[in-house]
Amino acid sequence: MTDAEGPVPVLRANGLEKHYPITRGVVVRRAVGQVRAVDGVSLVLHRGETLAIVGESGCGKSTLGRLLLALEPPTDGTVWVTGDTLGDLNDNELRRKRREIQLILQDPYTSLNPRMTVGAIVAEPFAIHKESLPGGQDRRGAVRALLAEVGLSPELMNRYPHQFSGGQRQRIGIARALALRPGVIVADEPVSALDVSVQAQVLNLLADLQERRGLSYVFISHDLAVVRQIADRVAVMYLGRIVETAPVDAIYDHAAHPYTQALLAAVPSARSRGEERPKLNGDVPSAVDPPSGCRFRTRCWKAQDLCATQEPQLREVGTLHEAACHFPETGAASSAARGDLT
Amino acid sequence: MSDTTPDAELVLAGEEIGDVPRGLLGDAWYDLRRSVVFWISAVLLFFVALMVLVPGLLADIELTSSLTGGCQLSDSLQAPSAEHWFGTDRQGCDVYALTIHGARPSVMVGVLGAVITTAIGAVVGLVAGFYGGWIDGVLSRIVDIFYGLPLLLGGIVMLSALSLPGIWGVVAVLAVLGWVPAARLVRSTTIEGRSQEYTLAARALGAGNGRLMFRHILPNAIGPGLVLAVISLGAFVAVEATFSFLGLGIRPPGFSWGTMISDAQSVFFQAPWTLLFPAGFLSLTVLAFILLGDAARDSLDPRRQQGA
Repeated sequence: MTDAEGPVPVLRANGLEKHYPITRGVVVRRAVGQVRAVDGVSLVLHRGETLAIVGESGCGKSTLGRLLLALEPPTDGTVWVTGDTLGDLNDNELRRKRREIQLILQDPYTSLNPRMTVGAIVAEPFAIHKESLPGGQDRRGAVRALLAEVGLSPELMNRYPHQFSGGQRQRIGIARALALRPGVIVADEPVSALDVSVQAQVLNLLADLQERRGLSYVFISHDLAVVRQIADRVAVMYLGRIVETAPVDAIYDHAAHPYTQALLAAVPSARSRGEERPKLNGDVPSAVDPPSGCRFRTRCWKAQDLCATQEPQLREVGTLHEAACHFPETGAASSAARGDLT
Repeated sequence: MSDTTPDAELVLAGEEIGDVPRGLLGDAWYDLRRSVVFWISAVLLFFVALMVLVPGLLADIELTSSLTGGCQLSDSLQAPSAEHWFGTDRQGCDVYALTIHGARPSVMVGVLGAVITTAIGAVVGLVAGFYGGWIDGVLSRIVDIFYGLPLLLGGIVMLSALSLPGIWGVVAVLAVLGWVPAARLVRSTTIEGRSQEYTLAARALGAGNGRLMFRHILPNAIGPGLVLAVISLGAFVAVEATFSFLGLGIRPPGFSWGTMISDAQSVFFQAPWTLLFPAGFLSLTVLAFILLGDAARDSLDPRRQQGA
């Protein structure tokens, strides 16, 4: 995952925030509050790497994905993609920049326009960026090559999306994302709408493409089993913030943040049956009015007075391993400690 | 690993995909051919089209006017017979000839009204729904204002004030007052389409507003829009009849199904055929358009289950 000179960053987010105003009134709108969907997220993605963003629904991970793609303007913070800060680009420059970062969406049934043939869907990137057609190829030939690359027969170009299965449709979405030969792909829950057997096929396809094309993925998911298969690094989000980030093995072997431990404990597995496991009580608090200090303290079994007054920052707890907790588990102690937490 | 993924062969075989590819219209036609409702409306509309396009083939225009000697007062209010299939009206004119020749203004109002209101509504709805914010605020308030104006009352006021000849007065009323349902429909489908994932994917590809609106959002509003247009076409034919009945639409010497129904009211008990034939043709025409709209809705939806 690293070049000879060390990891090359291809995507960087700095202090990203997205606050949605809550408004009252029909004629005269006034803001009565804010939903802090993303609230100060910084991350780095390196070339050839897969960074998984995990968290419960509503933690802001999808919003984060849209900010990374400049589909929505951030309230604060910047996104940097291979040499350019997206917020500094004008419309034309941003349009050209989009060739370098693309998107794979969750639902294969709504992510393809039902009125367009598969050929037209996969050719649309070339219609928008006419200059991006691979040399010596016409549009049709380029589409055929893309369909073959994702494992679909090019003969199916004239069909409509509704004539395909979920997994096949997801392949079409992947072909569309690959058309402009981007270096970075943001995949927002790309397999969570698929059957488990199809999930594995699509994950394999993503891994093959990564190897062949040197892609970097931001892989947004709530499914820790899937993340373990594909990710190099994991960032755990809670209420709009990253609470822990570490190489994938470190997360699964010795998670430092209690929230991460609870998420892992919630993954069903044969091994942990009967064992006492940390359980998450209650729902995620509202992002309109997040708890003071540490956002997780309302559901945390380790919370102390300090947690209510002071917000923990990301601190190093191991090699490339950071956690935002006043009382992180360190090293191998965490897996042992997991037993007596309830 | 080879150049394709392991399960590529599986998909390449393409067996589970089944039948031949068809375009959107091909698909719709394939479905329509199997729809009984479509065939009923098609047969009815075929006769409507004959009456509108070539009424001279079906009935002699001279039988509709006293000026040409077609109507004899001595023939007034005769019951249907071999000579006068639908009987005669008070002027002694042939009701069959009147009914045939009265179709064109009625259907013209419907067609023009439907085309114009759908076009206005589509533009307003698309702009309001796509841009949102204050643009939507302003346009939606305008829509609300027009929604509050009753079509009949507003039409009576407009038609009394203006004097546009023939069907044009009614078409103008419909253009001013009739576009609200189309605007609302297109606005809501646009808002839905704007947040669809395929629109998001197109934006991520760098698609401009024009492409988003005309390639992704509008085509997906065509199904419901077409249905609304066809159904309102039927309703507008009835509106023309209403205004003509009130003496505000088509005026003598012009005539339509509406004026015929209006003229028939005073003699209905002596000569019910003067009312029943134009009213029956009107109802069947409206029904035909509504049935067509219904059949088209089902077959234009690409997400429906394949019927065959």
